Amino acid sequence: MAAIFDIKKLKEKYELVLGFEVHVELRTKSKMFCECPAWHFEVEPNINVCPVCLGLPGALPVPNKQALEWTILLASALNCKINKYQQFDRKHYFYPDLPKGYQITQFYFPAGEHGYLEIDGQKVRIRRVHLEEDTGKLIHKDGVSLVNFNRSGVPLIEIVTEPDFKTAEQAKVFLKMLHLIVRYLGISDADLEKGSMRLEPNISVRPKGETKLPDYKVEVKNINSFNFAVKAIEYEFIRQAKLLEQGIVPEQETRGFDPASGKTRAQRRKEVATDYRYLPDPDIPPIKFTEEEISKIIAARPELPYERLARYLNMGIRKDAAMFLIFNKQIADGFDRLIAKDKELDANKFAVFLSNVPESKRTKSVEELLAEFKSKIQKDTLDKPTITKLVSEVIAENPKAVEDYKKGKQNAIQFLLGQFMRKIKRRVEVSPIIEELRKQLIK
Amino acid sequence: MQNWDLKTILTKLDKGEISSVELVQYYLDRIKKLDKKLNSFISLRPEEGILKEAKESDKQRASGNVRKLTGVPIGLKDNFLAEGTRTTAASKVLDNFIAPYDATAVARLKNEGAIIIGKLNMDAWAHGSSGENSDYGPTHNPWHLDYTPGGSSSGPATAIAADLVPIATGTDTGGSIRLPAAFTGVVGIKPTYGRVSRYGIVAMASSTDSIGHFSKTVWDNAYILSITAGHDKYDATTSKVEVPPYHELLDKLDPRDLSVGIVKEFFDENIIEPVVLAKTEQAIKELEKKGATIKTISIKNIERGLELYYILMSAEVASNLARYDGIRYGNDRTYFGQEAKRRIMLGTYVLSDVIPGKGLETTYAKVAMARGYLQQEFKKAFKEVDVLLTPVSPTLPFKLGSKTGDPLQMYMSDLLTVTFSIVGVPGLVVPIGTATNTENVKLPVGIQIIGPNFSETLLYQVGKLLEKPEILNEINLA
Repeated sequence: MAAIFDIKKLKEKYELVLGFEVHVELRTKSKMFCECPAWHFEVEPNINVCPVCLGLPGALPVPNKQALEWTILLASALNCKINKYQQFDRKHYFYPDLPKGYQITQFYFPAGEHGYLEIDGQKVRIRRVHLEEDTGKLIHKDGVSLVNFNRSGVPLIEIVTEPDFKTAEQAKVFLKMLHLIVRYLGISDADLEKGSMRLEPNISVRPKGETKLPDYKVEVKNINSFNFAVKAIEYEFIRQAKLLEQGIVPEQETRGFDPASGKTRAQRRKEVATDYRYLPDPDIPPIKFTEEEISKIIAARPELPYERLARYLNMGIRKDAAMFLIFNKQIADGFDRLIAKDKELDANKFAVFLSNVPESKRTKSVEELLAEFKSKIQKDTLDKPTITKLVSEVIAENPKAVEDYKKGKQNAIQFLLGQFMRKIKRRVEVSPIIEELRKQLIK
Repeated sequence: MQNWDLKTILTKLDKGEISSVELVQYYLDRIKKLDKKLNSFISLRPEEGILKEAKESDKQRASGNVRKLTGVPIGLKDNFLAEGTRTTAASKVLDNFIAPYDATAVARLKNEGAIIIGKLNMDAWAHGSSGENSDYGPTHNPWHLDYTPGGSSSGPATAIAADLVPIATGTDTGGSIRLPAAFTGVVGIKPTYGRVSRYGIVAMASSTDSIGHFSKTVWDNAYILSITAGHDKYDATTSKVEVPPYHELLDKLDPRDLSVGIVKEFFDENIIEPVVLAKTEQAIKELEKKGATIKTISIKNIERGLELYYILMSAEVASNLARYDGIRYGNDRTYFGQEAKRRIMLGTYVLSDVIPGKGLETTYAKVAMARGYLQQEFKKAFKEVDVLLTPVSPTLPFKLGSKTGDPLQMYMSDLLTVTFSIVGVPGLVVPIGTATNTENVKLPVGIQIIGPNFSETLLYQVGKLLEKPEILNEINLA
């Protein structure tokens, strides 16, 4: 007999402990340790392979410089301390998609550590950002298992956060910003559906008020959208809370998310660090960056979404419009170009206008949109003689309100404005009308 | 043609006194005649292919297209990948593995026109000091068939001593070139770590694996190293230090400018068999007569090298053998021999103390630090002297089967070679004579010359002063 739980009570009693491991596949030209092309989508299986990424006897890894630099770039964007001394280590485990029996990763000296990303004024701490190699891909079909090694050895950045999230929704905002940063840097397609960006929440649950981290955690894989991440987390919270309620500590394990049912399913027991038998890879000499080299890499960094957001807010752009712009980089780039050219342009109004452009029209060039914006403004602004004429009409037709205003009733002006609007039957810029009303009322 | 060295062969080929076809046929015939007894080859390439290449080489030579090794037959230790050749590393796990690409060293030899005859026997995965860990049977010492030729490069050393090929490649992780060179009376180089590319050679312990060669003379050896050495973009641990024409510099040393260090710790009668010690001291005296300064020095903790080596090596071995997981390469993990299993278990144990956040407290990290310390000690030593001279093995070649039951005793054979491996410095072994053991069997004795990193030129120069290649004429295989 399954126990029946009051979900509301569980939510009151327990809280989520949530951190993330995010993997980002880099779009370098070649793989992490060999010369094979790193691109592996819509490619015939086992074509982009060589002795190195097949892990053949005698093959040796030679690290990809571009990937190392891009990792530094991302780590710096996440405010990490960049390690000048970096090293690759072997992480051992057996799996058919791992041809060497170990994955080359940065365990002891990651590219970056101790970073953070600020989301709505709150800091999410980044534990580490490191570089590693992707594995091959297993395909199970018709009762056989096949391995495709095109993906084997593709450079992969792993970002590990501290368990700083209180809710799934908060995590979603973070993930979207992280995704955006990666896209701005141009280092990955970060396509969740294709798997070039992978979200792996580490979820555990503890009674509210408890400050110690639970001594287990559940990692969930196969999440290919931000919304599925939210679903998986919410499902896990309830699943684990129910177990805890029965006095059972949930198993430390890796679970897979099934989008169809919205549930997670156990995949394998999660190994602990000792099981991986980390070994500094003797095939790859440690990599030493100088302060200057690191500065040079970071100096070439494009403006980041959060930097752009701050700039827009400083310019007096409304937050929702600014957010719209940073999430639509192409439009924002055009926006920046145009406001730089036209100093007279009202940046805030233009930004708000852009953020209201329906999805279907966003393919238009920003120049076209600007023209639309200008003609709309023109339509929205009545010329001075019309305003003067209509205002005197309204005043003549509403003596009662005029009387009230003169007695000190400030909101009488709102009534008169309403009367004005009824005459023209559309929405227009109101400030010049109010100004004219005030002027004529004093007379 | 018997016992021609490479230099003689090159001269005769150049003068047209012999053809590559005749040369190749001579070695093929000898292999057919003798290798049933010696078991130095695991695989021979098909004869037609070899002869076709020899004919092609002769044509090239006739047309004036002469490269450094045009038409010269060579043998490869069976852990060298050469495209299209069966490459087993003497383990049944790889029994039917056909290499799909060339190791860099192999490619460089082929580019100079060398003809690969076949793949030579070894301890499986290069684990061993006697050749007895081969899954294809032990190799027999051409000086006496009851004796081991040393390991792990048992096949290459034997093939040179028995005149089955003029040049052979080898690998040395803890002594696997130097020990068999000494046990068979040939010249063997373990170059500086990173001097020759490891790409395409079945890895044993990646941080000490060194790729080298066997030959009858110092000149031959220097000539081959000048071909294989140098930076390789496929091996991130290779050095960009320039490669000199070693063989052209052999006579450029005045012995009176040379100071030789005798490492006290390695001249201990409790460790070294008296005949070996006597022979070594005699060679040193000869060098002194030629004007060299001899100095007894001490290197702190040098005797700890063996333990450090067996920890580092087994950890790396366990990691490197992980890819033979039974999913690829024909045979599964049950085909691993006793020694490989032993090292996998030792290494797995060594690596099982990783604690997150405690990077420098693992056994491996501590040993790596001790290794750095030893390297410093060696730097100090090489400020005092130019080279070190030591025996290669504590004993003369021992009988096949005499140590197989006692792995620890077998590991002790590496006592005088492994320390230099973990430090990374180069070592050259040359034959200095013969000695007779208690059973009245005449066996060869070699000496080990050690220098600082990238001092191969100096090692060859000193080796030239010490070598006695003529002892090979005392082998009687009839």
